[in-house]
Amino acid sequence: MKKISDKYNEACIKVFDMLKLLSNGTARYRDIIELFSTSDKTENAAANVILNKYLNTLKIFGINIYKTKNIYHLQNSFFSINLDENDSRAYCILKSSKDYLTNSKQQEIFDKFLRSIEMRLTKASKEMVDLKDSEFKNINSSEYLNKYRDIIARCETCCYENQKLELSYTQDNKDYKVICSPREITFKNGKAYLSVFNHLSRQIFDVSVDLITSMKQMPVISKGNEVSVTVVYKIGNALAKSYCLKEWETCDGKPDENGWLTIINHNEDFDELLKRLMRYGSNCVVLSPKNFRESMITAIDNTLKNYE
Amino acid sequence: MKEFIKSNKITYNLMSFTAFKTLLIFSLLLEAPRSYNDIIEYFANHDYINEKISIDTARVYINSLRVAGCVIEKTNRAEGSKFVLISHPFELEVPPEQLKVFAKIYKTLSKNISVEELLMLEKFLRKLCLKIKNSEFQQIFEKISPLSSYDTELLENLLTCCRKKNQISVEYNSPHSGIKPMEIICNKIDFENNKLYLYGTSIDYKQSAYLQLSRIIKILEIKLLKNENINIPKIKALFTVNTNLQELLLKENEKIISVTNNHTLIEAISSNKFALKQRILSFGSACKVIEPVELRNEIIETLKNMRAGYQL
Repeated sequence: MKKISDKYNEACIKVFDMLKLLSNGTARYRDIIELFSTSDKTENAAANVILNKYLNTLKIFGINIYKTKNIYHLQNSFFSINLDENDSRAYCILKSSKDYLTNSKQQEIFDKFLRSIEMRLTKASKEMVDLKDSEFKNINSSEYLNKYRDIIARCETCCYENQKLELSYTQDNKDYKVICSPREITFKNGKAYLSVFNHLSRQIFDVSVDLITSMKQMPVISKGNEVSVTVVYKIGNALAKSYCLKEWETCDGKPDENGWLTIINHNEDFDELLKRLMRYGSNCVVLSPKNFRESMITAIDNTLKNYE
Repeated sequence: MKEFIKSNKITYNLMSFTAFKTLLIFSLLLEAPRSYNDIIEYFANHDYINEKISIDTARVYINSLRVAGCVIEKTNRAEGSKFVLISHPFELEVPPEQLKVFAKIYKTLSKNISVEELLMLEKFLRKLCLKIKNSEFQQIFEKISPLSSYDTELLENLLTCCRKKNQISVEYNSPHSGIKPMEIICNKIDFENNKLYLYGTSIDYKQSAYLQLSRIIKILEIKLLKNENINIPKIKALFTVNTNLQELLLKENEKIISVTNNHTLIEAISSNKFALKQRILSFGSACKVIEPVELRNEIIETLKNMRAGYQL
């Protein structure tokens, strides 16, 4: 006879095994029914009767399961995530952001993530989410995304396939053509940008997708190990004391004898960086690379020319 | 259960009572640690079970949960000999592929929503982290969240002050003069170069000011009355910007006066000359100050000093 400490209920194991199979939201009928078939090949009908007993048990307990085309779907699980009103709003914001993903595979993965949370929401939380959901206009319906959806999807494919591109775009009434490797799609202030590595200047920059005029795929693929140019600049006076490093910057933290702090900047869009460093006025001097230092000098000279 | 029994849709023969009781004990442990007595009492008082079980029976249920994959520990007698559910097979676990997609979407989302919404999301996700089994989710979230280094309670209070346009006194760690009190009429909180700033009107300096949020230690006082009649001198500047109008993101204090070809004439009203100069300089050669002359001269002076930095 087994000791009490070794005894357990078979029914408990069965119901847990069944829920484990369903824990990702769905399970195949044949996997579920196998749990209730014995080694001596219990007749299918008998296994189905036992399965129905367990389905009823779960239903009475409050866990809803339904079946479509030989797949069981778990509608809710053990309630454990309780949301207040603000949490529900936050969840809806997260949910409505799905369309920032232009790759359908990634959308599918994100859906799974959301489903795994939703399955664990308490009934009251789920009701609150459903109520709030309608308040949030899905970004999918934004005019901008609808207009540029195709080109964004095309850019996403280029990034995913590591394509090398001849990219043409128009900016400030000038036409540009660059050989580049697309890196990723980013969204800023509701607009989509293609971040690319320019093989000639060895810099990363963002092109607004609405400015792209053509994308030609080159016969080779991008190696993906391009090393971009690093910009080194120094900042002084009050700026050196209050400056917060960006996540793509490094610094030894020690000012020189004149109070200048040297910053090493990796991968920032040159145009964006130039605008930012111009803001710092005479508290900032670009040290290298030579071409960026010259761009900075040209920008200062050209601005001065405005006042001649 | 009640409705099923009443409507006779389910009979005792058509369900597994053992499985049902196991699920009840599991959900009891999900709520809080329970002792044998708690479980026995719960079953005895349950509307439909209404059954007195023995300690041995309760122990078999606990054993069963352990075999099914639950990690259950028992506290000592001084702490009530309660069973504590440490982990179970249905905990939320975010696989690596979902982590990657979540990181991507959150990075994008955080750049496209208001600070209020971001704070709401931050609090929700911090709560969610506690429900997620794998610590990688929390690690990634903390790494990518623009609010991870901020005190969310302080941020929430400051946002409330901004909504009410409160005049407040804060303890501020100034990079120049160290920790000191500062008085400001709150206007808004926003990101600038990935850092949060509190924008408002400084009572001490009598001009519009922005304080880096990470340097605000605490709110010392929310004033009941505002200094309504502070005389803050304002600069009205006119400047042209030569850029695509669609690319031009105007600030709150700016308005377009006219557009000729690609030249946009902008009027900006500000009491903070430093911020105004920074804004003008950021446009580079695309911008030219028309008036006032003093500001125009100061910009020229700054540009000459900048140029001098490259002649060494």
